[in-house]
Amino acid sequence: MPDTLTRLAWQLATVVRLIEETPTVKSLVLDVPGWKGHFAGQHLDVRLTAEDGYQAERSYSIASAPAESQLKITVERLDDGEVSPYLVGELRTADELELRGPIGGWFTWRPADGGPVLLIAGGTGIVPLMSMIRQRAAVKSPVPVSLLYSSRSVDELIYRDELERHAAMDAHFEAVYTLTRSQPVGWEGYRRRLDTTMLEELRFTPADRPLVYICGPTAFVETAATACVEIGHAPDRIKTERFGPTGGTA
Amino acid sequence: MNDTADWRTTSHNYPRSTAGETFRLDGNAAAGLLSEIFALEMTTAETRCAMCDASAPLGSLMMYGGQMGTVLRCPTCDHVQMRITHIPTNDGQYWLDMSGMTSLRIRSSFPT
Repeated sequence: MPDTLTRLAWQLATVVRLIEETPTVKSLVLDVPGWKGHFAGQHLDVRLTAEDGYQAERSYSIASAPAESQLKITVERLDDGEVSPYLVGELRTADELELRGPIGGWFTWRPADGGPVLLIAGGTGIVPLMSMIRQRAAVKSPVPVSLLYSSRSVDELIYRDELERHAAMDAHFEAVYTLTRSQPVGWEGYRRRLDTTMLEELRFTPADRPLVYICGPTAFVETAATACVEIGHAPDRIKTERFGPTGGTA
Repeated sequence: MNDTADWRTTSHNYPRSTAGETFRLDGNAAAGLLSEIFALEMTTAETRCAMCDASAPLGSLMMYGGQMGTVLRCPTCDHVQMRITHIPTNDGQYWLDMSGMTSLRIRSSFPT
């Protein structure tokens, strides 16, 4: 039977290393025996079991590139969350974690998918897009990529040093930031919420027919996707990944 | 306590305090749940809407999750294409209502 017919099973992973990305965000480097690899953009499910047997599952995007030897996820601690405070605050190196994955073939990018590629991230929505950026760099793909990354403050930007390194070394990669709440002195990026003007000022216009990937909280994704369509990006070239509650507006 | 804040995506196992709340996500978020039922990668499968006849990858449908199950709606006309409920009885049953789609085209292998 081909691998595609092997159903996903829960398995134990070991925490190899914890990387503090920001005061509230950590990356978990995981050793997963028999991990079959993933595509950039995919996620995995983590399951925690309480002593009384209650189980909580959450999905986390994979941050590492398929070409990297170590599997990484990046998790933001949400004080009122059930799972993330444990993953970010309690978990230690050599601890075990139950997970299954990789999951989700839709929101993925492979170098063979081509481009140009327009990546739009809101907050921790950068994580699956970072996997794409890392994969592109790892395989030295010539596909041009433009990233628009919205965050509340500079302290909350994840992977900023790495993004700046990519941008400095690679003329075909640009990273544009907008800080919506507070900006440091001398900040040269945008200072407002994402809008159509911002999208129009990026390197790729709808005429370039870029593949567009948008990831972030639901409201951010919907604003960004609507703005993209408004300025003329082809809806069938746009892929979105929303997360978080919408406040019951459904 | 609002336990929903880090409800990230997927799965029928919603945080226990979310009764009555509904989330709007992408069909891609149902990937974990779909993988419990189907052997093939389903988020790249093309559905055809029984209402408006539009075709779309399942991962691009609108997903609404709540305590009563997962609903996937057409991104074009909002028609309910698929409903999935997991009934946690001893033998654990999945209940699927796919009357909102006329067809589902599934790739036999996930391109690499």
